[in-house]
Amino acid sequence: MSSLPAPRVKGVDASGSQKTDLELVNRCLDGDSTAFELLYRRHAPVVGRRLKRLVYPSDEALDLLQLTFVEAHRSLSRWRPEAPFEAWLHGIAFRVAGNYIKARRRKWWQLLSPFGSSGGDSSDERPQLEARSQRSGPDDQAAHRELVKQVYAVLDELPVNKRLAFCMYEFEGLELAEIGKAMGASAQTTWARVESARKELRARLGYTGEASSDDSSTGPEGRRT
Amino acid sequence: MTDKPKPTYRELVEATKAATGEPTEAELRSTYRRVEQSLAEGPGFSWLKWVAVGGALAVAASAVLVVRLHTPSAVPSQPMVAWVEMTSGSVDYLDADSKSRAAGPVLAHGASLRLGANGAARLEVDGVAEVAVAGPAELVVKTERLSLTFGRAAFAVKKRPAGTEFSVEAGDVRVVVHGTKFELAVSDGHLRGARVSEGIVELIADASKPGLQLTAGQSWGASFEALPAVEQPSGAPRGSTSVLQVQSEPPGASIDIDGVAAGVSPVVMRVTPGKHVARASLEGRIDVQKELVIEAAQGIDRSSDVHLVLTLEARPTDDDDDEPGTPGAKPNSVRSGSSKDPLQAARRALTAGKCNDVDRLVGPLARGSDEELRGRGTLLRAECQLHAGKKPAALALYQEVATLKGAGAEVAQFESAKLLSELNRKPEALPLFVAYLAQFPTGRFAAEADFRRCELLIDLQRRNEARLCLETFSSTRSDQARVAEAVFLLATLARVEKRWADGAQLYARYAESATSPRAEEALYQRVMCLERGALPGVSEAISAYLKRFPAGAHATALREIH
Repeated sequence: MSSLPAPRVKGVDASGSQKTDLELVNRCLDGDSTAFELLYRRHAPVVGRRLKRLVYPSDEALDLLQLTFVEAHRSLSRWRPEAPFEAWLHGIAFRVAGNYIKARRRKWWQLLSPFGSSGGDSSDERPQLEARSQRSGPDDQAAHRELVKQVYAVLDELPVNKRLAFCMYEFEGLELAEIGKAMGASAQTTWARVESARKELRARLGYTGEASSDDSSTGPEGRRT
Repeated sequence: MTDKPKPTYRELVEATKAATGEPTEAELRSTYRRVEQSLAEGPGFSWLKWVAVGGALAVAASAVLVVRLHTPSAVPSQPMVAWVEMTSGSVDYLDADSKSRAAGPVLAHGASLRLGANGAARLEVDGVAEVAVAGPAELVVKTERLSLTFGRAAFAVKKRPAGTEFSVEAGDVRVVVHGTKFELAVSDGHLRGARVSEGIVELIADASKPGLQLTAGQSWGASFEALPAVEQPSGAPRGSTSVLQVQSEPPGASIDIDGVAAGVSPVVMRVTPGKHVARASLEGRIDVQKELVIEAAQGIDRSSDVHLVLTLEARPTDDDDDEPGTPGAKPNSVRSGSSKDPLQAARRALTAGKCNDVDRLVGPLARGSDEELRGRGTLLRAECQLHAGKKPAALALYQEVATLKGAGAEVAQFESAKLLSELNRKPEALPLFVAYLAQFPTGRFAAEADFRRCELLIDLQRRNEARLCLETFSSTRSDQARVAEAVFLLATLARVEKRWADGAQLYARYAESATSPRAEEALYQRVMCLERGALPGVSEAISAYLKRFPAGAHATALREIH
């Protein structure tokens, strides 16, 4: 396989847009290695972004992206065209990310590490101290990082399925049915997971009193199923 | 802390979306190159993956000896492999899934090396670097980079071709190197100190901002003089040895090289050039051996690697359990020594790492009616499996002994609980530790069992019980080091539960204790607890920190506040 060619020009899909995923997969199975490269170029940006959002703040998303595509390449013959290739690929990515999160969680010392990215509700302490030391000037970026750390500190304590469902629904805007398909669950179950994660996040971050009008209209019966 | 209004829930979600970002084109390209490499590795990659995840290779039934030269691709395109050489102390090898795996001299991608307090190890990272690690520490091998999760390590990195960047993750900081010698110290997920003795390194805490460049003689963060020394690696290639990879079919055979135990297959080791004899033995299989000639390696590239596959044929029947070439020998005859005492002979076999021999020698005892002897024999088998890194097998044997009467029951019960915990079967481990403490309240392992029980309660999120457990432990046990650890955990629990006053008091107690390697962290956390709880004494706490750690990791931030 050759290395990646130059980045595609905006507006021109140099990644084989004329070819469907099915055609590219068939070419891969016939031994055409460039077809897999085209599949990678077509899907890696989205899969990579989703993995980043799933495992943040770890910077291992790219390792997981690599594992996802290696696994996909080895399982290409098992893909059935009845299901969209993208959904199948995301199923693999979810499994890879889920396993990674579970493995990371098993390290108990991370749970209790003073600023552990996956631990307790303490990960916000140092940034707060830093914020105090920088009081003289506003720093939105630092404030954003602070917020994100708080969100992920809560997500780190959720069951993996809830975390995956929540991230894909809230951050990626995927439909419940789509998430459910990739995770092997019904839309109803996926919705329950998203709601449970939201509830936990609200409670832990002190949003219990806030009206949830911004998300109460969605759901298994709503527009995003 | 901030005057800004609290964002709405929706703003919070949007901020999170915005902050996590997308992979860049360069990242995607680099990742694709790694995908290509992994796929090009083919069976080789599978083998490395097997080493990493401890999976099972297919069992082949043929009895053919295969010797072939390993033909690796160029160094930069290989998944990184570290060759481990223990200097002292104990070590845990963990696979990519954080599960313990058989000890061995090779660490593949995703695997990690965890050193105990007295542990020290040297790693030769293929074609890239030499690393000296001082325990307690954990080092993880990743694709084209290493990660120092905690502890202290010294690196000697070879010059790399342009475009093949090598980096070390040190807690929350990425250290980019281009051929240099340096030391790093990491604790609690953060880089605490860096010192460069040759070349240049760049410390990058935020990928969107320029990093901090350190040149030879410069250091950052914690004072290294206050930390235990790490022996500097030379960085010189070990050109006089070659790499021998021995695989067996089926896997899991005990491998001897020139009569010296080399571990359980697959085994990767360095050997001197010349003639060698590799021998594989596995229960229920006929031993097999092969003579091979190793050529001298060229530098530390792996072009001279030899990959040996030893295939062991199944024995016709269980009764025909003789040494090859010794027809007529009794199935239970002692072949590892001349001693008539099977336990003594088994101990010798255990020392040599020959678990198959241990099993055969104590086999008759296991079928006997004397529970004491049965227990002692099975304990030896368990110990051997444990040394071979086969924790599930060791666990089964320890559990068997725990049900017997005799002196071995105490050890077996403790080891069973410990192994269950290490095998991530924590809900099962907890009652075993409780049962041990009930049965042996003043036993040999009582303090250790008690502490592990507290840790398990934390792991299982039973915080109230964990707190009680740790409080009792810290007030009743005499092991000062363990008591200090318990106090630190209590302080952390208090902080997690937002009991700021308790947290501050406990961190202070920890920092005052004589055995407090994390004193700096404790003093800093004390400040945090006082500040977050709006309690008096923040200034005094900051002064206490700065007085003791004027160049500490948090000194700058605390000075600004002070």
